[in-house]
Amino acid sequence: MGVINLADGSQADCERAETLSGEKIVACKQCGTCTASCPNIQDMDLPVRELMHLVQLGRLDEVLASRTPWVCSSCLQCSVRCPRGIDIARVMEAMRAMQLRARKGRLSPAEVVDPACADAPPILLVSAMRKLTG
Amino acid sequence: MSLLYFPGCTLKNKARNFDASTLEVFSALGVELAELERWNCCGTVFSMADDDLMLQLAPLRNLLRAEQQGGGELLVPCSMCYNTLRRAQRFAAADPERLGRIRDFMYDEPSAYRGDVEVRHPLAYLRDRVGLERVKQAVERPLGGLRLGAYYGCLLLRPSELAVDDPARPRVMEDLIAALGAEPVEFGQRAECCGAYQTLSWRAVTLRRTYEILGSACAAGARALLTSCPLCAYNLDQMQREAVKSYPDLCAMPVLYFTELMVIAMGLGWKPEWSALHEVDPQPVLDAAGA
Amino acid sequence: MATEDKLVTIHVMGEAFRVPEGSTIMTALEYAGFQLTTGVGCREGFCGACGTLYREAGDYKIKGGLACQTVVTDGMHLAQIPFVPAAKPVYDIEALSPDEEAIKRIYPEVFRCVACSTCTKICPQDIQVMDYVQCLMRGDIAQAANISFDCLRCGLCGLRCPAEIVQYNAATLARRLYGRYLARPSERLERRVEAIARGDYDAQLDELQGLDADALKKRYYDREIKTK
Repeated sequence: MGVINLADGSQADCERAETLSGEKIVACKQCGTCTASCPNIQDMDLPVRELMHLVQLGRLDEVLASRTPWVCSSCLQCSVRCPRGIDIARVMEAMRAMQLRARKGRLSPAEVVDPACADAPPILLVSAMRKLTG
Repeated sequence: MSLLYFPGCTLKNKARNFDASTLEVFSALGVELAELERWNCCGTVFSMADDDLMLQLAPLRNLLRAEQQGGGELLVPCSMCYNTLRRAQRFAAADPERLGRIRDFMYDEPSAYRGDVEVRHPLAYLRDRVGLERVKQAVERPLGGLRLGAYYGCLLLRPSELAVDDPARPRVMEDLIAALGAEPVEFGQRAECCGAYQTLSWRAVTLRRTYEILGSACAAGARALLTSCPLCAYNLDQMQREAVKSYPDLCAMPVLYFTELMVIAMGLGWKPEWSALHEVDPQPVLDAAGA
Repeated sequence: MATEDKLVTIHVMGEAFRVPEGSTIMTALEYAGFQLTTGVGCREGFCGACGTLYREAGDYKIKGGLACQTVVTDGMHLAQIPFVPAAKPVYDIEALSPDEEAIKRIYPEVFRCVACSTCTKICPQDIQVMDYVQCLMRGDIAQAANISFDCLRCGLCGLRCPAEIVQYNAATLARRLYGRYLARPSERLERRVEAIARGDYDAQLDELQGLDADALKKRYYDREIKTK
């Protein structure tokens, strides 16, 4: 039996992320292919590889404070290229889901009324709300 | 012959040119598309949380509707709908217990979800069932060697299990372009994300993606892009007017649905109102066909 | 009702009452001694004021009904839902178009629908609520107006919606858009409006206004009803 250090909540948090994502996050060996593959990396404050490492360590507070999961556009390049077979996009989804379920959405439906989005098609509205509103 | 058809929400408004051109092209090739009598949003953007079954109901209910209408194959031209429907189908089938809970939730439906509908994308259908040779024979206005880039984006190729072609090196859209008498141009960003829903959130992401994708296609010599996704079309076409403010050297070019290109080349009659649905005027493509 | 000898047990907000079999929830509540000052209206199934949630004995399903139309069953648990909180946006119908953009501008949360069908399951009017929400998402205003036509705005769909959509308000917008932009003009109606404006009915209206209550009642009950 491993010892769960409740002081930093680490192992429990890592396990929670694994359950929610359905992925074996501890299998990540930090090669960085994900970071190199990500088309949105320039706008992320926490590179994908580092995010995976923090999740492994159970330091979810730092992950959830970063904008990286919100900048991810679920394109799956990291997932198809991961040499360890981890569907990393699902880990990003888990990070978003944790916050959306705590009603911490990135987007409010009222924002899409912005005139800049006047001609936004339903496919854009629905996908943004699905991923970014809680 | 007749084939069940799922248009998806956006093909009924902003992408009605995609809807109309798909119906016309298939009809001209001898396949009558029968729109599902009752359908809902595909569930746009497959939800990846392992425990959230609620978000799988939208795609699965559509597949159930297809079953209720005879089942078999379901043609889905929108890349997003195609991707969401197929991934949800795999998600539900992966675990009998999960499948049971989903079925139980839909107790108000007249029949239980089986999961045996085959979701097909028109590109794969044209290649495998109609045959690109037959498409070639149907061309009446060959596109005069116009250089065109096939933009696949994410949803036609990832995850690999549902890719419409070899996900590492797709060629189905290039082959279609060649069959229509144009010259396909491969470019580095053809399978990289357009920014997707970030247009409403991290707008800078989409603006840069638009700039980079167009730049990549431009550098390879493409004069226009082809897509099968209304979200890619919006980000690559409509967003050009905003992207050019951040990137003055943006390479402007028209973005068309592959079925629109087929309508042009097959001489089926471009509808003037389709042009209004494009931000960048597709006229150069029409001119290439002498249309 | 008191002459009925067979009684059944219902549970109103957890408290058991013996009420006559065959009575509606509304008459049962009054039989049990509740004085209804809210959650009651026309008593005829038209006004939508008496939305009620209930579960029947041995069934986990939660159901929605109008208290004035739903007959009690033995072992039923119920609570009236007299009101569901929802802001009513103010909009200028002339500034909107009958398409999905109008829905996006006034009720953007409609696009959060996950097609779970919970709204349809609860609707006391058996309206395919989810289907009209889906029509709104794709901009089929005419079909949304058509499907939602029998809505009484009881609010139960909006209460149950996991996407937190206020379906009945969005449907009202759809019907208004339909009326303003899509409905075929009615020549008869237009002729009648012209006639009223011209004053053709002024004398008859004056006469009615001069009648007392009893005379008005007599006129009402003796009126000629044309059926097609």
